[in-house]
Amino acid sequence: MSDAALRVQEATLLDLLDRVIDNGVVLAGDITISVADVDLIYLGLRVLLAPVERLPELASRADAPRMEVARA
Amino acid sequence: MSAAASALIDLSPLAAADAGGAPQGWYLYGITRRGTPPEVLAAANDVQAVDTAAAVSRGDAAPLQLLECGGLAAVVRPVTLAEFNIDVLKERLRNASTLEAMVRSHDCVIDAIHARRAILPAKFGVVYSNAQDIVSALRSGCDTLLPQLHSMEGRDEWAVHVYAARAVVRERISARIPAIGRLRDEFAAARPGRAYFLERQLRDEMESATRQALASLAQGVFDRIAGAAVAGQVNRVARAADSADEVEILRGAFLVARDRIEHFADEVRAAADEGEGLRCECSGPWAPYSFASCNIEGAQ
Repeated sequence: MSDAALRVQEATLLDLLDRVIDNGVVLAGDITISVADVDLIYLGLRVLLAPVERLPELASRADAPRMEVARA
Repeated sequence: MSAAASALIDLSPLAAADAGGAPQGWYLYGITRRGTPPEVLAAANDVQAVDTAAAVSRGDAAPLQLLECGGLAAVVRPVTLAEFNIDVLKERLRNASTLEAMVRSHDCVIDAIHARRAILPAKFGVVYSNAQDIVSALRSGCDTLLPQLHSMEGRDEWAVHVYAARAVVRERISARIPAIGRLRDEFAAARPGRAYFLERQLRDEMESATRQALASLAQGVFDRIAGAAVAGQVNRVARAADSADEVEILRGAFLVARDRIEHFADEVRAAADEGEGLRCECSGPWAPYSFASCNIEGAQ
C-alpha cells in the first residue's frame, strides 16, 4: 500500500467487539448454543469495555440507526 | 493426509460422535463459495482454535471442515458438545480474557479465509448439533447467500471513528449562533439571581445547539466517506470512546472495494481536514461482519 492508502492501525478490541458481537449470518437449525445469547457474555464484555454505559447499547444493537448507501 | 481430504466429510453420521463416543456439534465460522482450495482451509486451520478452549488446552482441537451444498460451503469445526454445555460456558465466560480469546479466535479463522476468498461471517459462538441442518439451510438460503457472497468479493470492511474537539465545537457554536453570544454577554453582566437563571438557559441552549451541530457534522462526514464506499452503516456511538477533549461523533462501518482503497483513504482524510477540529481513525481490513447479517430459514 502506498503512502496515500490508509494506515492500518492495530485493530482495537473495541472495533473487534463492534464487528463480532451481534453481527453475522445465522442459519436455521438445531442450535445447541449461541454464546452471544448467554447472559454472561455481557458480564465479560463489561470487563472488556470498562465503561458500563456501553452495555445497554450492546444489548440493543439491533435497533441501531442504519444509513445505507447504494451498492455499486 | 492433506486438508483436501479432510475437507469433504461424510455426512452420513449426521448427529455425530467423536472417536471417544462424546456427542459432537459444529461450530460455524462462516459461509464461503464451494470449491475452497485446501490451502485456504489449511491457512485458517493454522489459527489457534480458542473457540474450543478446552480442546485447545489439551491441544486436540479438530481441524476445520467444509459442509458443501450447491454453490456454497459452510466453514465449521467439530466440537464436543460437552465443551459448549451452558454451565461450562457460564464458567468460562465469567473470565473476560477467555471471552476475548474466543472472540479473537473466531475473527482469526474468518480473517484467514477472508484474506483469500470472500466469506460471510457467521454470528459469534453458535454451535449446531446437526450438520444436516447447516446443509439444508445452505440449500434453502442459496438465493440469498450466493448474491450476498458475490457482492463481498474483493471488498473489505473498514471501521471509521470520527472525533470532534470539544473546544472547537464550543467556539464555533458561540460564534455562529447570535442568541448564544447575546446570552453570554448578558450573563457576564447580570446580578447573581438573574445570572443563575441565565446560566441555566445558556447551558440548555448550548446543549441543544451542540447536539445539532455534531449531528450535522457527523452526517456530512458520513456522506463524504460513504461516497467512496460500496456501502456504509452508522454504529451507535458509545460514550466509551469519548475523552475530556474530544467527543466521538461518528462510528461507522464501510464496505470498500480493494482497488478503491486509496480513494477511500483520501476521502477519510479529506473529511477530517474539512471540518475544523476533526480527527478520523480507521481500522481494517475486516471481514464484512457489518454487511453480512441475515437469518436463513431451514428447508420447509
